[in-house]
Amino acid sequence: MTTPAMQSREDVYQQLHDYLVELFEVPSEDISPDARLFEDLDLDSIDAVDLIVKFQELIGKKVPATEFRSVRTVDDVVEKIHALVNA
Amino acid sequence: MDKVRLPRNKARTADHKIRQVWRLFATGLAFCIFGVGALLLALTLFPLMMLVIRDRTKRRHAAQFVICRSFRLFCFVLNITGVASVEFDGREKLNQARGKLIIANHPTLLDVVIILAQMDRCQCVVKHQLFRNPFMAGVVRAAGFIRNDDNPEKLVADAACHLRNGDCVMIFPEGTRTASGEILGPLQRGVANIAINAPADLIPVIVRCNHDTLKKGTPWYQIPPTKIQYNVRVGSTIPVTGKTDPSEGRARQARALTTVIKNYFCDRLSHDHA
Repeated sequence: MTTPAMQSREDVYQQLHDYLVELFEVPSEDISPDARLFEDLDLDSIDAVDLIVKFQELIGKKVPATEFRSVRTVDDVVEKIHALVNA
Repeated sequence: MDKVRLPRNKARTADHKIRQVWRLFATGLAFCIFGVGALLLALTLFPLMMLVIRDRTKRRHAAQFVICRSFRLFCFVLNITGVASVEFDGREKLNQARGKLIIANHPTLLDVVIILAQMDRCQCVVKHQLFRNPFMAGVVRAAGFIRNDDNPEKLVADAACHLRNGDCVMIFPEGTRTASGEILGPLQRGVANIAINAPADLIPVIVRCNHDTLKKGTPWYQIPPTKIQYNVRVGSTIPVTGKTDPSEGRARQARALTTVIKNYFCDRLSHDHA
C-alpha cells in the first residue's frame, strides 16, 4: 500500500473517511463534513487519541494534541491535518 | 360496617403520615451523617494513617477498607431508620474476586455505597467533581480513587495497572446515573477499553430499586411513599477473552465488548427479578 500524498483537502477527507469506517465502524453514509465526531459519529476521547496517532504515522509529523482540543466536526479535522501536511 | 371502617382508615392514614414525616426526617439525617462522616474521616483517621502507614499502596488499601466498612454501617442505619433496605445476592463472588472489573448499572445515588458495603476493599473510578467536593475530597483522595476526567489514556492505564496488581476496580459503564424512565443509559466504552487493556474479566452487578427516588434529577426530599427497597444481584463473570477478535483494532474490540455488556444488562434488567 502506497502512502497517499494527501496534498489536497479532498485527499485528507478521503483518508479520514476510510479511518472512520475501518477503525471505528462508522457507517459510511453518516460521514459528512458537518458531522460531529462525538455526537453524530459516536467517537469518544480514546478514539480521538487513536485517530491522531494514525495520522501521525501517516504524515510522519507530530500532531499536537492541543491542536485537536477544539476539533468538533469532520471538517475541523480535515482543516487541521491539511494545514499540518502543507506547513 | 362503614362506621367501623372509617375510624380505622383514618388511623391508618395518620399512621402513614407519621411514617412519611419520619422517613423524610431520617432521609435528611442520613444525608447529613454521610457528609459529616466523610468529613470526619478525612480530618481524623485518614491523616493519622498518613503518619502510621508509610507505604502508599497499603495506606490506600486501608482507606478503602475503612470506606467499605463505613458504607456497611451507613446501610445498616438506612435500614433501621426505615429509609432503605438492601437485599444482596452474591456477596461471596465479589469478595473472592481478584483483579476483576466490577461493573454495575447506576439507577440511584446509593449504588456505589451498597456495592462497596459488601466488600473489604475496592478501587473505584469516580466522577472528578468529588475531588473538589468539600465533604468527599478527603475520602476519595485518601483511597486513591481514579478520576474520570483525566487524560483518557491515563485513566485506562491506571485502572489496568490496579487490576494487574490484583485489585478490583468498580466502575459504572454508563458513566453517570441512568435517566429517569430508562432501563439503561448509553454505555461509555471506557470499561471495555480497561478490560481489554488489562486484560481483566468483568463481574456484572445488577441493581434494581423499587422507587424512582434518588435518581438523577430527583431532589432528596422528594421521598417515596414506602421504604426504598434495593435488590442487588451479582451475575456470573463475563470473561474478556473470546468476546472480541484480538486481531482487530483496539477501537473495534472495545465496541464489540461494549455491545456484549449492553446486551447483558438490557437482558437482565428487562426481565423483572429474573
